[in-house]
Amino acid sequence: MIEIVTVGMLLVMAGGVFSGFPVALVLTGSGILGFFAAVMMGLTDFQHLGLFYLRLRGTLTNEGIQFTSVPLLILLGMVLNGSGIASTIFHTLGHMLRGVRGRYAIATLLVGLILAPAAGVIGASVITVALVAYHPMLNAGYSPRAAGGAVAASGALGVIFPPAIMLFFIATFFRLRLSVVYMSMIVPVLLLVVMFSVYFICTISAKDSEGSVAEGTEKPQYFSMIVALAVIASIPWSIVSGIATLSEAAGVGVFGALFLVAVRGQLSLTMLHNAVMQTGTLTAMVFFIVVGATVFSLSFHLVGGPDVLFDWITGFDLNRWETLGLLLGLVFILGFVFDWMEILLVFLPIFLPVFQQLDFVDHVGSAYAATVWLGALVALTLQSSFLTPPFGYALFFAKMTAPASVSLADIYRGAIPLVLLEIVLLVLVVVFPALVIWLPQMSLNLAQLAL
Amino acid sequence: MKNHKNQAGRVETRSVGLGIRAVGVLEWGINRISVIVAWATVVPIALFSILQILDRKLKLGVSSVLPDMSTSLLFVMIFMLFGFTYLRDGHVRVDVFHRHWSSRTQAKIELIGCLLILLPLSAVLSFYGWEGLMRTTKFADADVWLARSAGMFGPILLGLSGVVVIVRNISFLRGTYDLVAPLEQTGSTAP
Repeated sequence: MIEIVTVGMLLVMAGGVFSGFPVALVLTGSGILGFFAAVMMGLTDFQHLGLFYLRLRGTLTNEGIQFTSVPLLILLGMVLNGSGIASTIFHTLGHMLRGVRGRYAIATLLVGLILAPAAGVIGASVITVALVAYHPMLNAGYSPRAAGGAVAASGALGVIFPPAIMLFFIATFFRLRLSVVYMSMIVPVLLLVVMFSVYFICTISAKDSEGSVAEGTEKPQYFSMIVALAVIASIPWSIVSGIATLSEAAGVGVFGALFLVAVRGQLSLTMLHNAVMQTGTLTAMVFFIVVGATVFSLSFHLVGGPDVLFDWITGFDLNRWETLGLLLGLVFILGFVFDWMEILLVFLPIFLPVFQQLDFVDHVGSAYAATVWLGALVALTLQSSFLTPPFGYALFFAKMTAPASVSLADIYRGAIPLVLLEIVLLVLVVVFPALVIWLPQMSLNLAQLAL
Repeated sequence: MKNHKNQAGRVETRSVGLGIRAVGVLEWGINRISVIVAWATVVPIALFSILQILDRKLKLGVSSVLPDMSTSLLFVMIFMLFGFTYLRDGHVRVDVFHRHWSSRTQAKIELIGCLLILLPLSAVLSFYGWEGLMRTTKFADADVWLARSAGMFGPILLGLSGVVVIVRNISFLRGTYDLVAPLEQTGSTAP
């Protein structure tokens, strides 16, 4: 009976989600259906429906989890996006990289990192990069494939670079310190940027390395770029150094970004109004999924769903490496269809018992370091998934603002080599956990951090 | 890209039927309330985070209060803007198949979803929100009152947004309204 209800809940959820109705509402609906099933099975009482509401209120008002940082990071992203800083940084980097082949593609990648605070939540920020980067690349003679691949990669990179919102949820899920998660992702992401850059340098045949910035484009603005970089970098830096909490650091970032916008003469009531309203709606969107995930997870646990899945997976009698491969494979495939929010808030909690039984202490060094490593692997897998044809969301964003000369097929072809490089990096991180663990160990006293 | 892309452009109605006009007024009201709530929550949360840092230096004695207030304001923002976000089609959808379906099929799915999920959810949340509000004592802090009130009024706004979508989609299916609701809007919501 438990198996039937578990499968039923998953099928109802899958059917609802693929119908195109909002995911959060489908999750809540299938969660409430699961609750009724639990009542019929005698596992709970109908009067306990009110506990769902109390649990929701408790989750959303839990001060232990700094949820207030989410709207602030979104607001920061919106203000930076509205400031046009992506364009300025792109052209400034393009100017700085004179002499380097494929400089515009490399500049596109780096701009993606600047937009990290709300990457994966604010689709508009990726579109901004696309709007800025396509024409200089195509005018410089880049193939549509290279230009499309660079824009898509730029859209996916920021999702896992501090202070991305997704990392906050990864830290919350794995119960890790945010500072540790931030530090753990820096080396892998920078390695990825280097690998992508080398790929572009080797494959882009256009002679764009000479001469100045294309005519009609912005002149380099080093001051604006430095201020923007300082604003973004101050967030992970103040958390790692223990000066401020994430909410406080994000708040300072917001005012730093507003200062930048004011200096650039772009501060207006309309811009502020748009930023505030978008922050409100995007925050409601993110937390509606938290609501749906909470209701669904509660019901799923009530009917014993996680135990059923745990028994199924352990029934395959896989070793820990095969189990890890299976879990990451699932995350990768889920990433084709779902946003990181649903994967982290709905699916990973379902598989939490399986994650918890994975023991990689001998491979990584300590239980805490092993959890940090697992978190990094999940983040990298999700990011690779977002870039993988045919469904990766970064590919669609890259197409949305692409000129007619760049087709979706071009973007797919441009993304495939980059996905292969991502897989190479994933394998490297699996084999050499130090790539993830080294920086937190050097900068933070990882040994003394307890789970 | 998982956000559903609906038809772009302005909403234009063929008919100015009573139902459509009534939900237009309803949407106008939800928009106004949401604009006020967004400004009254986003800006203070940002300011409080700065005050929190300043308090460590200036010893204003607000450090113990501000996190509570920020958390309550966030709760107010989330609950009060669920409906507004739905009306702007801001909630995440998996549109792998959905985007290929006809407008009529999309309207039917939205209609069924609203009737089977959104309205019952709104009723359940409002009921327990009301219970929570009734259990709030007069000694509770203002921010607790705010959050508990939002716990009741927010789901009502969500339900009303559902009503707007239901009426528009019924009109669409009857051929008296041009577009499937909700209509994606990414631009400004001018007050």
